[in-house]
Amino acid sequence: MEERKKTNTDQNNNDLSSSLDEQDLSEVKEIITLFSNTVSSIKIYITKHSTVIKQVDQLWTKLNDYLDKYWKLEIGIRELAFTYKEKTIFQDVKTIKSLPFLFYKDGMQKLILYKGLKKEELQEFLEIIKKVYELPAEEGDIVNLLWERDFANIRYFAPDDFLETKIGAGKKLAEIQVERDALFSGSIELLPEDHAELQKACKEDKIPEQISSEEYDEEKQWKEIEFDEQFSTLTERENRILDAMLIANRRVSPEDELVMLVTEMLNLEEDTERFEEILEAVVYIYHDIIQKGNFTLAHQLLSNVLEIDMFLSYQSDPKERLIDEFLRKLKSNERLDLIKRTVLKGKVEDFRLFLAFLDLLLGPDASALLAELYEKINNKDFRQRTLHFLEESAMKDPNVLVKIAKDSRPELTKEVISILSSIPEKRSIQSLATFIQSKDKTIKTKAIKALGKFKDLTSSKILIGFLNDKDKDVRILAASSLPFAKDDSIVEQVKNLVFGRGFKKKSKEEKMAILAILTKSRIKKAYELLEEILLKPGFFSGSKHTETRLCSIQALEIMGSPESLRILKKGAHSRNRKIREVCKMALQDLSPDHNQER
Amino acid sequence: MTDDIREEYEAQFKAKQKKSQKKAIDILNGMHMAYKNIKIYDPNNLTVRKQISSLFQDIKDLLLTEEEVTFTIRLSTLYLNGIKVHFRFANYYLFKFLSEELHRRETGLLQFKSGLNKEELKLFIFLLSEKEKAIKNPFETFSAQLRESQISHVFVEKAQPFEETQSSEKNAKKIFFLGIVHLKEIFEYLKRGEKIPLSTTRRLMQSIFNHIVNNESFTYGLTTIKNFDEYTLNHSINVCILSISLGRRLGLDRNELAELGISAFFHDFGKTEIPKEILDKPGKLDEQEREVIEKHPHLGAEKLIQLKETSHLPMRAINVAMEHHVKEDLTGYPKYQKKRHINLYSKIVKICDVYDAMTTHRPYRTKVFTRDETLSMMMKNSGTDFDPIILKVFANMVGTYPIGTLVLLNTGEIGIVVETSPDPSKLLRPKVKIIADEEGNKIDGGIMDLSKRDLQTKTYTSRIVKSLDPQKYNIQVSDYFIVQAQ
Repeated sequence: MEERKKTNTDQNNNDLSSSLDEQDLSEVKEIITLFSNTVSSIKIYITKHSTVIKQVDQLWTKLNDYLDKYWKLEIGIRELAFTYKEKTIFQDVKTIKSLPFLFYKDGMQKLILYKGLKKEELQEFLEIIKKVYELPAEEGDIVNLLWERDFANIRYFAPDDFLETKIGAGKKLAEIQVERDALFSGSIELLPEDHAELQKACKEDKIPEQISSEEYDEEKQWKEIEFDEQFSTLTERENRILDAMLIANRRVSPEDELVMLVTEMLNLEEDTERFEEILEAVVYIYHDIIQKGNFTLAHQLLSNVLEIDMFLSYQSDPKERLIDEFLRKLKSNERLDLIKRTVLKGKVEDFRLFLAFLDLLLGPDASALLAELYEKINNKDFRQRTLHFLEESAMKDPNVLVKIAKDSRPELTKEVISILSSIPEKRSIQSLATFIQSKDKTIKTKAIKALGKFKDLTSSKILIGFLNDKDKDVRILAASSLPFAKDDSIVEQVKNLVFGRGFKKKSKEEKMAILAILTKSRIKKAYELLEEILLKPGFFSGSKHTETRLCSIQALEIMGSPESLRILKKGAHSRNRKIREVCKMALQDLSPDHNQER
Repeated sequence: MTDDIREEYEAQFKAKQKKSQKKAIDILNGMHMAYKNIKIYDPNNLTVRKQISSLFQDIKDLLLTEEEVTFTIRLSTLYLNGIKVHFRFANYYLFKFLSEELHRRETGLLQFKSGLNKEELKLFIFLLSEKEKAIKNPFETFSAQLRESQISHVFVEKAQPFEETQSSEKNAKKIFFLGIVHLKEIFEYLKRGEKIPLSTTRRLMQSIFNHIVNNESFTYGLTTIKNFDEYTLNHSINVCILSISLGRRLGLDRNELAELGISAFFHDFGKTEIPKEILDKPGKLDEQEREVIEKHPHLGAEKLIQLKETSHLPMRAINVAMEHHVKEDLTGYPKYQKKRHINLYSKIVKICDVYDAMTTHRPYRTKVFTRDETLSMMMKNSGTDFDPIILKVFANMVGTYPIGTLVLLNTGEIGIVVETSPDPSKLLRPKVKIIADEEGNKIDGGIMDLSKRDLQTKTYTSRIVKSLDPQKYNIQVSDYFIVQAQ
């Protein structure tokens, strides 16, 4: 009976334990499914995405509850499945994307999560998984990444056997084998000198009678400690230096060191062929540096190479040719495109250094690249520094700027016009002339204003060209901006305009602006033209004619010279009543008495 | 994670880590001091009591903000409340102390809970300091001792079995020889212009690191294997093991150690370009041959630079290949024209390179220096040839009598040093495997700890009289390490 009872109890225990196992299994299944779903989400979305946040929260809560209860979760890893207590709990048969395979391919056999797992740990773990999916298969080793991260509560088991599958192509490993029996049989006879030292040591070890063995031993120990401390114990100062060395090692980037090193290698290499090979490698290094946006280092690398170039040229070394070739590669469209891509990705931290690098690489030619970037990067610092660079380039050759200014780059082009107008040299006037062709009205008007600042015949002659522009505003602005007109040719051009076909159709404002050019001239021909307009009635007819004549009166009044008085007096006798009166009024305004009254 | 979030997270994590680091070191220091003194003095001695009080205060302070104070050992890393504790050379012994004591008891977690009192703490330290002979179930025994002593606020957990058994001597030996094969394969890949599987190299470094952490002495011992297959291959794996060990003592992190290991592994890459007749020429090299030999760092660096693009090789490997013969005072070769400093990894590898090369038989050298002879010769050139601080750490690591040294004891027995003392004050007293008795008969003797005192007389039982030259006695030291792994 008792036996029977016992069996029942056992059965009950078994039932209980089996139902507990079932519960445990179902909890683990739920966690792993949630884990798989979360991994799918992080592969698609960014970490901040609400779906990811929600899923990570859920996963962490479930895991935490589980770990609180069971202390750890140990997942077995098979090629395409996860197991728990030897039972398959998750399967994914798509080999390439399979989650279990991601762990399996790198030799992981178990993944263990422990109680105490922090949410940050879980998030980082998921990030590592994401990274492995993103990396090329030969680079993304999850075991390497987990080993480096060394999580406190996420551990794995990946035995060394895995390396045997990767090394030696499955061949039997050659090792040294030692025969144990042979090793521990036979004898060793001490050489006389060693034997003598043993004898001496035994004598030394005899304890003097007056001290105890403990004291004697203590004394000897102090001697040993003293010896060892001298030998291998670091002082406080040495410890500090050691710490500083480690910090310095972490602060100096490997790329920085590599640049210094390749410079030395180029300096030391005498063989032309190998020198060329190093330079080829330097191109790759350069590529890496640019890709990372480290233009300080790129500048360093380039200046080092240029220094070597200079040194080689002094010695007429044939390797100099190789450096020239190297520099050509750096200036190739392919490399310049890389620079543009890097900058547009926002990888430049310091635009000052970026521009210094470009200056070293391309000199004023960097303007073209900068122009492309200018319209696309709306960064105040970048733009200011670019304009400063362009200003300096324009000092050397204003044409550099003309090449980069285009209607498709309106913002930059306007800045270029400003720069050109600030250069107190005639050659910038010619550069500004190119903007006559611009189809952008804002660019044209900016150029006209800029040209107007030069008190120069050339700029006036250019501005005269704008008087034929299709746009009325442009024409008026050009006429009023014209800075210098004391030249027969200018007056001649005004005359041609005035007596040309379309003049009478022009607005009063434009007519006045054109005739006002003559007020700046004050040469004989200018007065003759104004007199001709005012007094030659047959030439013009109708109200439009009168309007032109009135404009000439205004121009003469502005000039206010004895010659204009003379012409106005003639006008005061005109048969046209309006002309007569306006001339009289102008004369009155110009009379000394009137001026006194005013 | 976006860059912003990652940066913010990293900044928070670093601040927390820094705080935790200080607390961990304070507590470990307190534990170590109390542990050392409780071994010498009575537990009620004033000094011991003061130390227990101070330790108690440190733990109590932390318990004000944390629910518990938990030290977790996972293979090679110690965590305080889940945050990794970093050790540098100056406090490395603290890690050794706690990890060894917990490892001995198969314990993976030690937790101080709220409610802990001084008496419990004192009793716990006392139990920890008790040295017992190897017992069958160390964790269960330790756990029972805590229960019997009614220590209810100190909790321990058993270490995970696989974490303890992952590294065996057999595995370590296997990794050593796999390393040689791997390097040979890489040299072949390079000759054929193929891409090298750097991911596998990284895994190899990881395994070497794990073995060093798990059984440092045996892994060092493997570096007594010399001239297996080609000299350069065997030498490179030796230098790799020594460099990772040294880097670890210096306080490099895991990623840095993997990079250092790879750098050491490839340091002699340039030698593949040197004709074998010159490399193995018996006797002195002529001027021209010397010039060729001296080009190997440069050639190695060039080769590695070309590899860099395709293999994601750590950049500093190139520095190491180039600089491992440049001395601390910038003499040696190649002679730099502008560069005025040597990379840290190069300094580390240089020390390990010279140490291994001098202790290896080479056709051009009649004498093979013993390990202790080599070390003292290197110490003489400290500051000129080697960085004095790193060399000191190296000397501390390998010990006055480095692992693999054949020694004569004052008892007349002959042994091989198999483990150095972690206590810097006992470097002259390593553990020795007895291989011949006082009569000179070769025996498979036990391991003798020379730092142990006789319990009755309280004096040391034996000491080293001198190191012996294995060549003179026709002893292959490496055999004694290999046989352990068979």
